[in-house]
Amino acid sequence: MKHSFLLIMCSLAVSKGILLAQEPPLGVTEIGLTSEGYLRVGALVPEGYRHAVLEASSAPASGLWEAMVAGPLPEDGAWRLQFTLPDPGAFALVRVRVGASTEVPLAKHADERWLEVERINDPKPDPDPDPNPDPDPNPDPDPHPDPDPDPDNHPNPAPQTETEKIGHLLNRIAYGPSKAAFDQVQEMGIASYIDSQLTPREPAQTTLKATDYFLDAVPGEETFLIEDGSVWQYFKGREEPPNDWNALGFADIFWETGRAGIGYGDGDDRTVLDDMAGDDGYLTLYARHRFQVADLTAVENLRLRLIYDDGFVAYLNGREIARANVTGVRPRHDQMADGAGGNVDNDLPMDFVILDVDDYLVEGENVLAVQIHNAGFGSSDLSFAPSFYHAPSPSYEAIRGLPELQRLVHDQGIYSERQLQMVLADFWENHFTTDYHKVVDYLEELGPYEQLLGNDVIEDQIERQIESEAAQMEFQEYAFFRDHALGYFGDLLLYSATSPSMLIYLDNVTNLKEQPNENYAREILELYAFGVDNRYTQSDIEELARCFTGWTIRKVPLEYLKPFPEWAREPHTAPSLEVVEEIPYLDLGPGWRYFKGTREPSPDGEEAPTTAWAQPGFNDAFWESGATGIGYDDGDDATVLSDMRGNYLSVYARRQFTLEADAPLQDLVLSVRYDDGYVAYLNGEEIGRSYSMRNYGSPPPFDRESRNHEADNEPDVIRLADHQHLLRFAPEQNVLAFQVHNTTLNSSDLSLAPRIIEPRYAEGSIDPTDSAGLWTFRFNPDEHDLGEKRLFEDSPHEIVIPAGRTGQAGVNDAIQVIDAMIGHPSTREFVVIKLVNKFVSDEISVESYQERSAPTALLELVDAGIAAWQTGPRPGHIGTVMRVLLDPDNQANAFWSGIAYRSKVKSAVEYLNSAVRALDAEIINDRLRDRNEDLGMQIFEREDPDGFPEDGPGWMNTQGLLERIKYGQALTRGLARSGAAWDPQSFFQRYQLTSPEALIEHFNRYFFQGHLQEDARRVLIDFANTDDECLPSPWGFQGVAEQRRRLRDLTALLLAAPDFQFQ
Amino acid sequence: MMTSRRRFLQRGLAGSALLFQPFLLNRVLHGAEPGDNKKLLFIFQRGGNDGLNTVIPRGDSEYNATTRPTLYIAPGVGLDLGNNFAELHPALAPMMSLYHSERLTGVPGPGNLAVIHRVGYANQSRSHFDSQSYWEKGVPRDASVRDGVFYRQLAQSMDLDAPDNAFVAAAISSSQIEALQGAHAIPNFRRSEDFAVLGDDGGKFLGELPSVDAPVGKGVRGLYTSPGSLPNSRYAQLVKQTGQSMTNTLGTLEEAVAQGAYTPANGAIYPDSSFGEKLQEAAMLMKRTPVRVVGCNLSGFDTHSGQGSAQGDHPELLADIASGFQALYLDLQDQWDDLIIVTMTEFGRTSRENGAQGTDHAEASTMFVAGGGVKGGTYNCDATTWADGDIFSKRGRYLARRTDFRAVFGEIFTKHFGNSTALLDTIMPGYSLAADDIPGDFETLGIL
Repeated sequence: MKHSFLLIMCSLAVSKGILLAQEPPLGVTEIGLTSEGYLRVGALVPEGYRHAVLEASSAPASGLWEAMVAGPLPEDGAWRLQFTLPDPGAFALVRVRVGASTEVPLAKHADERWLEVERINDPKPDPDPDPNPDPDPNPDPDPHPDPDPDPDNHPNPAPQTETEKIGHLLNRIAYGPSKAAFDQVQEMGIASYIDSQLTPREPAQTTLKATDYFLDAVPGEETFLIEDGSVWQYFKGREEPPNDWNALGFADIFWETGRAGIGYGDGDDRTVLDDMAGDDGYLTLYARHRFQVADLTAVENLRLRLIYDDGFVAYLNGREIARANVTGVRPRHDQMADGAGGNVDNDLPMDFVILDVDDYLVEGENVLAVQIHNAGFGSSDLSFAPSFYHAPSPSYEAIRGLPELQRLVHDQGIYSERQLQMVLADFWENHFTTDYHKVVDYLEELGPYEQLLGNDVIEDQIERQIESEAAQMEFQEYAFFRDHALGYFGDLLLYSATSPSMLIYLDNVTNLKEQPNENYAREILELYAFGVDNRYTQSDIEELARCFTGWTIRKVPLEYLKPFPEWAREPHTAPSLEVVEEIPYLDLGPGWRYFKGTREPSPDGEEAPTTAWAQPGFNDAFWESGATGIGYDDGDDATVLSDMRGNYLSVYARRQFTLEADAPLQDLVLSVRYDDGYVAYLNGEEIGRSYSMRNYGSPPPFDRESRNHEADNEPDVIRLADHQHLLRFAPEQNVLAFQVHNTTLNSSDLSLAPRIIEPRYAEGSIDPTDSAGLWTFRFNPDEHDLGEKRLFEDSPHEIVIPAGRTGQAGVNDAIQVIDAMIGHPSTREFVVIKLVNKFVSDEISVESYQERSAPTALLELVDAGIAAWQTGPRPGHIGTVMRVLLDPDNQANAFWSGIAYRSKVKSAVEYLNSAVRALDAEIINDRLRDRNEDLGMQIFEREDPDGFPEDGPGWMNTQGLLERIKYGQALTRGLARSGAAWDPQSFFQRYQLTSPEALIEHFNRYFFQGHLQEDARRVLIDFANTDDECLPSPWGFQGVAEQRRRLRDLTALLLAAPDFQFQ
Repeated sequence: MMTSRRRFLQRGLAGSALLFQPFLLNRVLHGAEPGDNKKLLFIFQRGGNDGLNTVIPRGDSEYNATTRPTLYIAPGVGLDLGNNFAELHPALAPMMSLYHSERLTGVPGPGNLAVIHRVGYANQSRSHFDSQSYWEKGVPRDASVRDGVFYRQLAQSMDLDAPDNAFVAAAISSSQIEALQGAHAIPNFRRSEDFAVLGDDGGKFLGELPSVDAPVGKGVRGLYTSPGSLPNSRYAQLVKQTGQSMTNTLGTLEEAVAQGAYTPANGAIYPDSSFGEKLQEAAMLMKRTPVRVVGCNLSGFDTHSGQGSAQGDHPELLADIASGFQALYLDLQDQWDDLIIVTMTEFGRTSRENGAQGTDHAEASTMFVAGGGVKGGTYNCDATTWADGDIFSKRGRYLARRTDFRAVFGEIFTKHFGNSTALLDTIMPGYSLAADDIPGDFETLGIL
């Protein structure tokens, strides 16, 4: 049934033609006055109407309308109408009606010249010369049916036209269409495009700039040509210095001398210029420093590192190499900086990279010369704190930090030609999700880092190092998933299991033989391979947890990093720092005095604890004598405290020792085995304590209960060189002292076994806090449960792992299970179905697959995917499965059916990336990751191990939708918070989007594949014809600026539309 | 919910006209139905809370420094619950003001806080995601049930399409909480103040809802409300409902925020944490909007490593909850008799500590229920319900349950919201079958 009429109403009283409202399916294309003063109204009419009439009213409230222009519409077709009304006169409103009757109403102007009718041949500008007309996009008379209870009976039509198919394909295997991507697929053909995505032959083309994401110099490996705090020659710029002041040969011996930083007013200067401001002041400081370069070829990544205020120009051997905040060629001594500037306020030095080093630097002597300009005589401060260094380029991709990593993921998703690979990379990253913050927390609490973090001076630097190591672990993992996204699932699973961030994230690093931790064993079954409760039991989890005992991480020097899969299958077994020989300097043995902690050993007058007992001068004659180790009940004690349990909580011990002047001080360490907590003192000063005693006061009272720590863990190591100032050399005596605490009065054991040793380390050892190394998998045979394990009992897939796999072979207990998972029916079901959920449809789950209750087309698709998984000598090849799911050759499976087409809601990252691609916008900063968080997705930061949902409903909620709409606003307005720059003018020009209709049609074609409903089109057209007061205000009457603004906001509304939420 | 198109259009249009007058949203809901003014605030403790270090079974000798070397809370450190058996974790000290509230009894003693131990369900899943889903749907192991349990409770008692009910429930959460998920999109948001579109022309961009005169709305509202504007896609209804709920919520929250900065009553101080902010937001909404059910999450309970005993990560989470309860108790005195606050968690944790100073997934855990009508006290944690060694009563690893969580929900739905017992099978499908199967699990505790 067709409605009898449709409306446009125009208020002539206000501005001769304001659009008020439209009814579907009429589209208004034009409304305005001709040069003759005639009113012209254009409209689009869909098929099925047989007449049109333009009516006018001077008092619309009265309901009286006069037919002004009328005419017939031919049969069979959609029409573009143009009414001309020669006498608009005093009418307040006009409206257009169309009707289904062939009877044309009587009208004042019946002449056909007042109504021009033009056939619209192809309302969707689809170049596809498809002989079959497009199917009615809306064959159901009900335009919004309720969700169908029968999943096999789908309301959606399948994609049929080329436009529909390309749009569908790019929405799924890419981060949405861009005009360029659309054209590319059209040119290549759909099958060839899919093929190129499944087996990318070209190198990964990228326009990304590596320095946006990766470090170009290794931190901590700097070679300083000029150290921070070096002595400079300087000249106060009361007059212009000689022209060659910055040349190597200039004689600066009469200049003043001072240690940098040089300046005044902010309290950070070693050389203070207290005469710079004020009456006899000067604006510019000139400074020079000579330095030697031995080998020019060793200089890589030369940088000037500077804290400066307010502006400067730097010269190397007389040639300018860097400047900031001063203009002009060789600025004069009386020139001010370009306003206040510099980086002194945040105290973070800035690096200026020097390119083409060979052109400036020479072997032998060089000079760095800098002129520093103040912003004015009244300026409150000036700063100049330089250093000059070079550092090697990393031999691997060293991510700058988490923000850069998150940006990288967006940027690759948006710009890479290998769209499918990037979509899959993000899919696997999310499947094997880990949390950057848990990695940071773990490193912070790691013994050696813990010790360094306790030092206020380097705390910030260590914290930054920990953050960059955590980001690097996340990046390593992401990069593997990206590079193997279309490879073998078995590689991804094994890599994930042995990835340092996963080992930390799900606690396998603390999975010990005596006390297994089930966390990872449970989740690899539930979330990564089998799917929840899919042919495994709690007993399998417990057995698998035992297989994983001993799995942990270590740091290695770069050259010892093993490639995958050796990394996993032939893992390092030694710790980061493996001691192969210890030359004892003060070994376990006699000479100790100890005191049972029944009370404070040296209380002050208030009975409060002091460290007097640890001082060299303390009289310990009344203490008992003994040998180390001291303790009870763990069989390693030379002095057994048989009365400790139940009676006292702590023990105090001290010993004198001498240190010869030629002792290898730099290598000596105090190594402490202990249970449960200790504080160590050297000559009365604390030099270290166990993590288990942190924040327990200085000194902790005698009855303080320690946190738990077992003596069989690796010993704490304290470098004596770090406490050199406390040491006395022979013949003077030193006193080493400890207080050792139990967890409870009733604890089963206590230990103290301290030694001063000179350790010799195994080849490939590295200090775990050394920034030059990388974290990798380590299998620790000492913590591996050697017993037999049985999994999946009473099934055809039963695994029996024999007892007694000692040494490195113990790693095979778990690897054998992981390898077996690839051939297990649960894994192929779970992974193939998850891929189908991601790329095709939400409407199938492991449960509905096993019950065969899912839609038939999807059951068949999963069956085919599983068959593809099984092909070839090695199961689980993802590219092979994807080819079956995408069916490039026939384009006739479920992917190409109505069950898939436009049936998924975009996830957060899909929405954001597709919006940026739709607008050809350019990523300019790392804020897109914040917007992704707003939309509900923090890649690399998810606390729960299940990953973000791959199905649509999880993403459709009021907060998420609002954030999407806000993002469209931010992006189109060019706000920095959008992370991207978008130039509306060039976008509109590029695609000739000169009217709201053209813009809407552009979106409809490329992003909605022609499915924009007429109601929505009318809302969008209305929007373009409305002013900020929400009053009617025709687009055609607006000035250029306002038209541009409206197009811009209309773009935001198009991104906000329901149509853009779907894929 | 299936609605015929005609019915939808009638309701939709009539409703749209009313929505032009947002003050109607704040109208107190009148009606003869019992439970009309009753409210619920639920807190989901994500990750599986360690019930044994929440409500400590001091009377069980197996709770000791050997089974829990670093987690063990020593005698005298826990807070005595007065039954010579149970203690609260010391970080829960602020809870004691509710536990000892004099409201009901007139004397210090069990007040308005029910402390319930050993809550779970038969054939317990130890998967976070399944078990959370079972709790939130009110049905374990039934994939055919898609709506959340609190959503269904609401849908049973009122017409959620009615404009008056557009803001009857809300999740203070950046994503929707499953317990509130249903065909009609319940609003969820992080902060009322931030819930707005950008810019100075928000009026035009957001647009207007349709009216009788203009049956198609404008701007964003127009795109999400006009009957023929939706693409013909699966989830079209979901997207449309969400869009409508979002635009309604923008109006409601704008009005709530316009009433000025929120000052909690009676000197209540919410915890200085994002969870505390959520609770304060919930209290504000309870006072300034028609909301009746509010949900929020507190995550971090998956304490496989470094759990902490009297201090540490887990105690900090407990302190957050306890200070939150105390603040809500003070702040919401004016509606205390109509309010229930309930905590839930997907499972408890292993009774024995693991090698990483943490605990793994287990079975039964604890719930707290507070409110003016709650008969305070300790349930399932006393000498008559708990035999020595019961912390290992399931498979030698876990604490066995005594009460099914649906029995606790059932008491809330019937006694607080006034639903008939017969309706419980609709709200929690399979309720009576499960109760017939294991009657002991469904015995009424009598907390209300």
